[in-house]
Amino acid sequence: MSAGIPKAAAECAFPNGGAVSLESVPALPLSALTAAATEARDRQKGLIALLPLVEGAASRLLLLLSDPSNGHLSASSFRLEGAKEWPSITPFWSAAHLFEREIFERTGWKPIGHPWLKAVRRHRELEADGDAPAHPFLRAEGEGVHEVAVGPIHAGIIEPGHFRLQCFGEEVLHLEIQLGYQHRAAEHLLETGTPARRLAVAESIAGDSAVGHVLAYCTALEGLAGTKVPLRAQAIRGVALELERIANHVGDLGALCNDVGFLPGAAYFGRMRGNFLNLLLEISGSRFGRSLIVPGGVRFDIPPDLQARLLGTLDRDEPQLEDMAKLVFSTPSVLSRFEGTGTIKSAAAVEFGFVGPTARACGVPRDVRSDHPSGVFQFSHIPVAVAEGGDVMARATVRWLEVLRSLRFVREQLESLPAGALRREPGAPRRSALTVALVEGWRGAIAHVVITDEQGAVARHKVIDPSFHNWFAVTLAVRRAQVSDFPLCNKSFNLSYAGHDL
Amino acid sequence: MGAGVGLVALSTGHPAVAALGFAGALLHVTNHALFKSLLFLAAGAVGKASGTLQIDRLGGLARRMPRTALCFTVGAAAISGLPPLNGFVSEFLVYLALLGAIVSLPVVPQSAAVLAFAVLACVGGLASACFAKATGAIFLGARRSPEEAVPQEVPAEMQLSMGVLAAACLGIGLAGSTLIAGLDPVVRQFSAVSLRETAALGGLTLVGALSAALVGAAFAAWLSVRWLLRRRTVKTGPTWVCGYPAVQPSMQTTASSFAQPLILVFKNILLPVRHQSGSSAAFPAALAVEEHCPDPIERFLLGPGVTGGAVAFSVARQAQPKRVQSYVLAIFITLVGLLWWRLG
Amino acid sequence: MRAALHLLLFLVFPPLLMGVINRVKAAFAGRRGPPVLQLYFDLWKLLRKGAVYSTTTTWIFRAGPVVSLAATLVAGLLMPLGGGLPAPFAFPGDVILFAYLLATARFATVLAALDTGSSFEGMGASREVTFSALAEPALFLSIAALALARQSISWTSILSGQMAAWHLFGPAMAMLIGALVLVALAENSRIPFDDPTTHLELTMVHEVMILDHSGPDLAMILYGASLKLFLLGAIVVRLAFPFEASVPGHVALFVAGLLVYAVVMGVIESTFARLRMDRIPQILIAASVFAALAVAVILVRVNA
Repeated sequence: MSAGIPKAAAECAFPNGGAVSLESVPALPLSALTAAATEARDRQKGLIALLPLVEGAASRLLLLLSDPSNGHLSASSFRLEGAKEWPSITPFWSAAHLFEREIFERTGWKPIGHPWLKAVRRHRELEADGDAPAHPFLRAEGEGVHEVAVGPIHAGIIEPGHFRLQCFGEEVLHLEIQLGYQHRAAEHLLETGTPARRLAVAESIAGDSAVGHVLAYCTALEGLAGTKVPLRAQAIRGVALELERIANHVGDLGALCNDVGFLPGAAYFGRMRGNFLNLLLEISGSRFGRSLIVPGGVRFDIPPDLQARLLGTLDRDEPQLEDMAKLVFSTPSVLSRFEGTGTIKSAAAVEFGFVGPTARACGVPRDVRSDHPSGVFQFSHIPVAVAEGGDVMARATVRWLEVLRSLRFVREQLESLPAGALRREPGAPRRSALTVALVEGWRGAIAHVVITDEQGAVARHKVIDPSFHNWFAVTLAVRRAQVSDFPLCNKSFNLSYAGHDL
Repeated sequence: MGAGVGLVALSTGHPAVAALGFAGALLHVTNHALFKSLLFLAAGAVGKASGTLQIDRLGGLARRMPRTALCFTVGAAAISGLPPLNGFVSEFLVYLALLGAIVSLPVVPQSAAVLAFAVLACVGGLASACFAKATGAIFLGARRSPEEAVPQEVPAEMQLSMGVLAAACLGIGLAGSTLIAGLDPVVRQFSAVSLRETAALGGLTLVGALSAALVGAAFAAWLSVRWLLRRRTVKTGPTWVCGYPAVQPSMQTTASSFAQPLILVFKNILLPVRHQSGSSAAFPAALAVEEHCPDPIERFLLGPGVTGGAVAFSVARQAQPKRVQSYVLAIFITLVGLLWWRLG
Repeated sequence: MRAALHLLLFLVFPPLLMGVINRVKAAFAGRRGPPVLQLYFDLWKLLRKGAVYSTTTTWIFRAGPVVSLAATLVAGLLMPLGGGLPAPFAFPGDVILFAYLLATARFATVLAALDTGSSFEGMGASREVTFSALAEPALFLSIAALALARQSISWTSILSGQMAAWHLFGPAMAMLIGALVLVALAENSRIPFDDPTTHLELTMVHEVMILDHSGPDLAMILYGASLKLFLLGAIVVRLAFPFEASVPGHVALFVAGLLVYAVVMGVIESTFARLRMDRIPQILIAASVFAALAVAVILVRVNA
């Protein structure tokens, strides 16, 4: 913290899902930004977001941080005073690189000294009018270098995105990822739609993390309204969130097997994913858990007969799952593909602020469920799954460990569901307030930041999908790797294109 | 290799094997004269048409110079020893000699023949890789440097000379046995056995016949594709690149990249040298990579010799005296020394 | 008569092998899988389709599948199908012509792939030539070993009377089968060298080279691939099933052997993951070493 500014005024702290009035967020001079960012980096805080805050002529940069050491979230802001530029913090804190590029793209304000000032989502290939600049890809020099352009249309059933690899023979020198094909103006829809529509949009931000995103969305609204969600609803929300995690992790383990051509793993894990999605179907009527979570609680109960049925399915599926995992993790040809492929150093994971299994596979124990617990996780703790190595093997291991721990958690919750109401209608939202809701989705920390105006209406709704933090991990993982390992690396992260593009 | 087998077979008393070896060697020399000239002529045509002979700046010439491309492809396939062309006929004879040696020679030359057999196979594979690379990088795909002048097909005389050589390559490939019969008197200078007495001649006739069958079958298949497509919709469109609209010629394999996996396999022999910069930064501002395989003999034998020699001579020059008297003294000492050596 | 039966078996039977492999793989994945005759249906469908050609390509692209199929067909004329059906053409050194015809087929496919100017196809072509250059010594060393063991240099005589060879050089024969199965897996782009079912262009070897082929051209490529699978399988089967019988029995034995071979291929594909791309050369060199060891064993026995 730079000298002369008292510590108490430098930032305002609040718990995950709590709301603070906008006035209590300190507005510091722009010169304090560098010091604040340096301190956050040195104390290994998480960067939730760096946002532009436009209030008439006075504009501010809003810095939102999470501190895993004490569980607090904090907000501070920096006055631009009419300037259209600020000193970039990316050169010393890489975690901010995409946020600064995004502000540049949205507002035209310039982060001075940013090493890669390019558009995040908007580029000529996507625009009908063609006046946006072509994306300035980094092009490797040298006689034998060739470019490999993959996408936007991929051979599998996956989302569109363009990957530009600079290769020398089979070796990848550099990868640049150009996304934006999935941009649907989700944040704008969340700010302007009717409440029912907003809920549907929140469920669709990333189709495979419907539960995670809608939970963050509802937590934010409940924080603004000061609603206490009934315990039974909290438990059911937790069950749905963990079932979503299990289904996706199991599905991805199968996809990893598929990418290395290991047939049994691909077939059985793929089938098992369906079984877990069907559990969500039984609870909510949607395989992806849609329309289960609503502001103030949940829409559907888990009655005793369903409870028994769910536990019965778990009893049947868990041994099968364990058998297959035992086979996959003991097949030498699979291990030789997983081990040492797409390695990310632990220091890089911290430096770039990676979240979720990506970070935990590098030995960085970041998990919102234990760092900033909210909802049911305040009462029931899930141990953080960490692996060392940062390679595909470590990511597969973390995912498998999380499957096992989430299964135990789901079982515990189902066996002792607290009694009580399902929903408590939220009241009117607080005016001129700011709230941040963090939820550990299966890819990592999902953040919804909501700011209300003087009437209590939503003025700004910012969504940060974990993919936004993690896409750069793919770039790092494939550098100096073989181009034929790129799909495997990419799959081990399985990041969301839609969540990034919003 | 053919002549080597021939000599070994002669010395161990297997004239039939020797005849095959010598015939293969002779025919291979002839064939090399044909397809090497063809390749050089085609390379000359490319150089004339495009103004550059740098392989990584070329590409896509087959659209502009289809006849030159055809001739170069024939030459490339011939030098890789592929049927139905002449390169295969001579390699076939060498292989026959080696197999003959494997089957009938004593154990030491037998083992050597097995080794030679495997090496020849590997060399064949590498040659085919190398010339597929050359053909691909020069003639196929899209042009890599569109800013340069558009190349045009070379004049008819140049095409004619290449065409004659290409036809000769195919002709020998189909009628190798006739040519071999003509070689027989030469072979008999080396070996007591006439080629007619070996089984090779019949085999060669069949090779020719089957090569003709290959040409015929390919032609028939070509016609049947035409026939099958006669009432169907045949569309043209861009090459599939995952739906990306801004495709550039840099998005195709370069000659160096094509060869890199092979170079990697033999890296302990070829010792590639790499110059790389800029790939360690988190957000690199620029990247550059270049790799080349310097000739190991030049690098480790001649290079150090020349540099070492230069160093030694420059040291010697430092020792060179500045005055004439010193030279006279040196001559005198040398004379005395020599006299003492001869007389004393 | 025998030549006609040979041609009939060679031209009609191969696509069935693909069907068997796919059914075995489906069984391992807990599925029923496509019909055994699926490739025949696919070929029929493709032959009746139109075609799309890339604007980048030239006549070389169109010549690729045609030359490749023609070369494979001619190679088939040199391969005896078990003990009952000798090759229609047999002469000393046909082993060499056989191997080089397959090389011609590959050369044509590689040039056609490079003609599209696609970065994926270029990479596939690069991998194909690299791996085949390394598979070549293994195949030729195996040929040398067999020539040495059988004192003959024509497939039809090399691949007959295997019982005697097994009695004399049992361990060497086993090693040869190992080497040839590795060569066959690599040349037919099966797991663990290549994954014929993957959808990831960047990881493909053979599949990516034929991305831009369509209609009858694609039919020729698929059919040619099944012929190649059949031909390399014919060598392995004849070595592994050295039993002799009367002519109809011979043919039945050979066909049964090929079906077993297809099942084994399916099992290998279902129980192994793919190799990392930079490991493939090592395994191919290992195949050469196997074959070289077999040569050494036979050399010692022959000269003893």
